[in-house]
Amino acid sequence: MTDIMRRALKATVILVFLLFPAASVHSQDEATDNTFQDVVLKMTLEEVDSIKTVTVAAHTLENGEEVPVSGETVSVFVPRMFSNLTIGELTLDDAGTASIEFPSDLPGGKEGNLTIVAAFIDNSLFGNVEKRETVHWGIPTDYLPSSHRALWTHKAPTWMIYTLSVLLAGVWGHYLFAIISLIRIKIDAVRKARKDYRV
Amino acid sequence: MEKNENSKSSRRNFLRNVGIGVGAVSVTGVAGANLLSRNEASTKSGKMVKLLSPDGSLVEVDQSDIKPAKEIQSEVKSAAKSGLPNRKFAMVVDLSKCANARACVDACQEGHLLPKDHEWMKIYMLQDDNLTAKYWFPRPCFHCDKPMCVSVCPVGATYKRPDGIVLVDNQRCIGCKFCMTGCPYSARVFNWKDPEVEVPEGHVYDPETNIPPVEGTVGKCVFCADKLRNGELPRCVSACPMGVLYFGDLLEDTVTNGVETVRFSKLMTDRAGYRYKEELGTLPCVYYLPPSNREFPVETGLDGVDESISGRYRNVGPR
Amino acid sequence: MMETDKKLIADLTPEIETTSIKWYITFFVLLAVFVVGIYGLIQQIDKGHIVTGMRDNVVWGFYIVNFIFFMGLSYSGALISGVLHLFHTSWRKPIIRMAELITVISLIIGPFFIFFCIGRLDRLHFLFIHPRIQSPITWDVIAILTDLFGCFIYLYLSFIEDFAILRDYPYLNVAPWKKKLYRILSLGFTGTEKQRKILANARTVMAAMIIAIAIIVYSVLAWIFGVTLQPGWHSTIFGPYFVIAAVFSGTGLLIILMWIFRRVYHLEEYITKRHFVNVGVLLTIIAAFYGYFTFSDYLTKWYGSIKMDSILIDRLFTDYYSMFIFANYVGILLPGIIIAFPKFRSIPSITVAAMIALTALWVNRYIIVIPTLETPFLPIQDIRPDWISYSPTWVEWSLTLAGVSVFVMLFMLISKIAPIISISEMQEEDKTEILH
Repeated sequence: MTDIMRRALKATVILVFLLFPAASVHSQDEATDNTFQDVVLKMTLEEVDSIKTVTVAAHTLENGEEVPVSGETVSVFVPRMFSNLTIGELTLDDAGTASIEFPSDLPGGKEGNLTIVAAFIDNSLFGNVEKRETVHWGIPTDYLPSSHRALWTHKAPTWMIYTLSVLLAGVWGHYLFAIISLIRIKIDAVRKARKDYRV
Repeated sequence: MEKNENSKSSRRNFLRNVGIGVGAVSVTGVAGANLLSRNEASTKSGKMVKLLSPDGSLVEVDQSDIKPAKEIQSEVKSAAKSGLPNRKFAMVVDLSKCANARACVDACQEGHLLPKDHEWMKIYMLQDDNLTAKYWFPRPCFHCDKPMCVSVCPVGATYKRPDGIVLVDNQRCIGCKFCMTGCPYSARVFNWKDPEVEVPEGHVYDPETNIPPVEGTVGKCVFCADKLRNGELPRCVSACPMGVLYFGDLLEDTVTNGVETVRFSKLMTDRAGYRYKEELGTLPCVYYLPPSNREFPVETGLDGVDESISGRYRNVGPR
Repeated sequence: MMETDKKLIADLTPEIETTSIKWYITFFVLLAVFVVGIYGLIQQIDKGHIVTGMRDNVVWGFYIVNFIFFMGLSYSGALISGVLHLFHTSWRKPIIRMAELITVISLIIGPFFIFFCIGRLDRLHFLFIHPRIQSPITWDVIAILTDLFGCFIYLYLSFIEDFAILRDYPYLNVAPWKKKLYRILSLGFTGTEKQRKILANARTVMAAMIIAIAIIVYSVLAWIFGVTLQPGWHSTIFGPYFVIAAVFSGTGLLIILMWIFRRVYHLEEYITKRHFVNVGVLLTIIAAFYGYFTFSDYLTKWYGSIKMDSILIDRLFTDYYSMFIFANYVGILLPGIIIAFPKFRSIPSITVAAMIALTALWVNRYIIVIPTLETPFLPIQDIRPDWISYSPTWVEWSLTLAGVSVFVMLFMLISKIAPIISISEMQEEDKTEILH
C-alpha cells in the first residue's frame, strides 16, 4: 500500500468513527454512561381479566448472576406532545419487580396505539435507562374536523348562497328592465325623428 | 530523521483531512436542515451550489433545495392555514395559582415583538359579586370552536384551522375592526399607529408568529403556533412562575404547565373546570379552574407592580 | 317638441341660468370646511388612526355613526318618491325631486365614512376580490352598491322629461355645454304616447324596487350590529328599528331642504304650507313609530335583569343622560307636539321640529354605537382616559363637518343643472285636467 493510500485509509477510518458517534441517546437494555452501573430493565405489558397491567423488573449482573434491584424508583409514562404523562412512579420490591394498572381510557393515535415507557430517571446508581414499547392500548381518536359549511368556515352555508343569488338576480333583473326601457325610449325617439325628417 | 518528518507531515495531513471532512459534513448538515425546515426533503439534484448564508458563512447547498422567496412565503402561509395534523389544542388556566406575576404578558410581548400597550394576554382582576372574592383572570384569545370573529370577517383575514387555532393574516386584514366588535372577550388589539418594530433581515411573514405587527391591522394571541410546530409550549405557559397555565392536545387528553403533566379530563373533573361565559356558545378552547384554596391574598398581585398597571384595578368591583 | 307652461319655466329655471353672489360665497365657505376635513384625513392617513378618538374597545366612533346617519337620510327618497308615487298622491309633486336627490347624494357620501374607518385603505379592493358572504359587511357592500345603482336609475328616469323640456325651451339662457348635456341626457324624448308609457312603467317598477331595496339595505346595516353578541346590539328588533329611524331622519331632512330651497329660489308658490303640513304629519306618524320601537327596545332591556343589559342602561342614564333624553324624548315629543296641534303649525315651526328630529336621530345613532362598546363583557381595566371612554378628536369632527358640507355642495351643484322642482311633474297636473 502506498503512503497516500495508507493515509487515506486512516483518515477514512477516523472520519467514519466520528460520523457514527457512539453516543446513542437510548440503549435498549444497558446503561450508557460509564460512571453508572449497568442494569437490565424489563417491561411486560399484559392484559389480565381486561385489566391492563404494566410490570417492570430490573436486575444487575454481578459475576454472571442476576441480582434484583430493589428500592429504586421506576417511572412509567406515556410520552405526549410537550411532556410525558406519568402513569405511575413504581418502587421496586425485594424481587426487583413492580406493577401498575394502566388506564383503559387513554386516547391513542389514529389506530389507538400508545407508546409506554418505563425508565430510571436521573437515578443515582443507573442514570437514565428506559424501556420503550408501543402497544395497542389506547382509544383510537380519529379526529377529522368535518369540512362542513358554517358561518366560520371557508365555504358558506348553502342556504345563504341560494338566498343571496335569488335576491340579487331579482333586483338586478328589474334594473335590467329599467335600462331596457331607456333604450327603447331612445330607439323610439330616433325612429320618430327620422320619420319627422322624411315628412 | 526522515521518519520523524514523514510522521509529522502525515499527522498534519491526517488532521487536515479530518478537519475538512468534519467541516464539510457539519456544514452541509446544518445548511440542509435550515432549508428543509418546513417541508420534507425534496429529491436532490446532486448539483451543489455555493451560497452566502444570512449569517455570513459560505455554504454549499443542493440546487434543488433553493427556492425563490415568493414560493417560500406562500408555502409558509399555506402551512399556517392547515396547521398541525391530528391535534386539537387547548389551554387550562388555574385561577387558584395566579398572582399577577405578569411573566406571561412579558414573554408574549417579547416573543412577538409587541409594543408595550399591546397585550395579547391580558390580566384582569374580576369580582363577580360584592360578596364573592376578587381573583386574577389571565385572558388569552380563547380560539373558540364557533368563533364570532371569523364569522364576521368580510375578507377572510382571520380563520380557524383544523388544529383549533384561530390566526390572523396581517397581509389580508383591511382593518375594518368588525372582528373586534364581534369578539365578546375583547381578545383582539388594533395597531392604531406604526408600531415601529425592527424586523429581522430576510424575515418572511408568518401568521403563526404574526411578526411584525402591521399598522392598521388586528392582532391577537396565536397560541404560539410557531413553537407548537417544534413541540414546544407557548411562551406564556413556559414563562409563568406559578404554573398557572396548562397547555396540551385534547386528543391526547393531556395538558402540562411545563412542570406537571396531567390528564385534561381528570383536571376538569377534580378541579371543576369551566369556560368563561359558556352561555355565549362560542365554545372556547381555554378552560378555567376556579380560584379556590388560594394560598395568598389577591392583593399580593399588586406588590411590585408599576403604578401604570396597578392603577387599572382601582375600581374593581361587581358589575 | 315638448310644450311647456311658460310660467313654470320662468319660475323654476332661474337657478339654472344665473348664479348669485350668495351662491358663490356659500359654496366657498363650504369648500373651506371640506378642505379642513381633507387635511384631517391626511393627518389620519399619515399618522394612523391614533389621531382619532377610537381605541381598542370603542373601535367604532364618529365615522360609523355618520355612516349610519347618512345612509338613513337616503330613505326620504324611498318614502316620498317610492311610496307616495305608488299611491299617486298629488301633493308630493313639488318635493319628489328633492327627495330623490337626498337619496342619491347621501348614498354617495355615506360609504366614504366607512372608508375613513378602515385601517388599510390600500386593501379596500379585498372586499371585492376576497369576499366572504357569511359576513354582514359583505352583505352591506352588495346592498349599498345595489341601492346606489337603483337610486341612480330612478333619479335619471325622473330627470328625462325635464331634460327634454329644457332642451326644447327656446328662451333658455344657459351655457352651450348645458344645452348639449340636456340633449344627450334626454335621449331624444319627445313626449309621445309610447314613450310616456314606457317611462311610466319603468318608473313604477323602479319605485317598487326602491322601497324593497331600501328596507333590505337598512336592515343589513342594522344586522351588522344585531348579529354580534354585544350587549345593547344583540337585539332582535334592530332591523325594523333602524328602518323606521332612517325614514324619520330622511323625512326631517326633506322638510329642512324644502324650507331652504323655497327661501333661496323663491318657490313660495310651489312649496306651500300645505306641503309642510303634509310632510310634517308624515314626520309625526313616523316619530310615533320610532318612539314605539325605542321604548319597546329599552323597556325589555330594563325590565329583565340580564346583567350586561342593566349595566348598559345604567350607563345610558348616568354618563349619557342628556343625550339619551334628547334623542329619545325631546326628539320624538317636541316635533310631535308642534305638528299635531294645528295652532302650532307654521312653516318655520315645522322646520324647527324637523331640525330637532334630525339632530336627535344623529344622537340616537351615537348612543346606539358607543355606549355598547364602552361596556364590554370583560370590563375595561385601564388607566388612560381615552382608552376607557370615547371622546372624538378634531379629525373626526372635521371629517363629519366635511361630510355635511359636501352634501350641501352637491345639492348646490345639481341645482345648477337641473330644476329642483320637477317641471314635468308640475305640468302633468295641468295636462290631466286638459285631457279630461
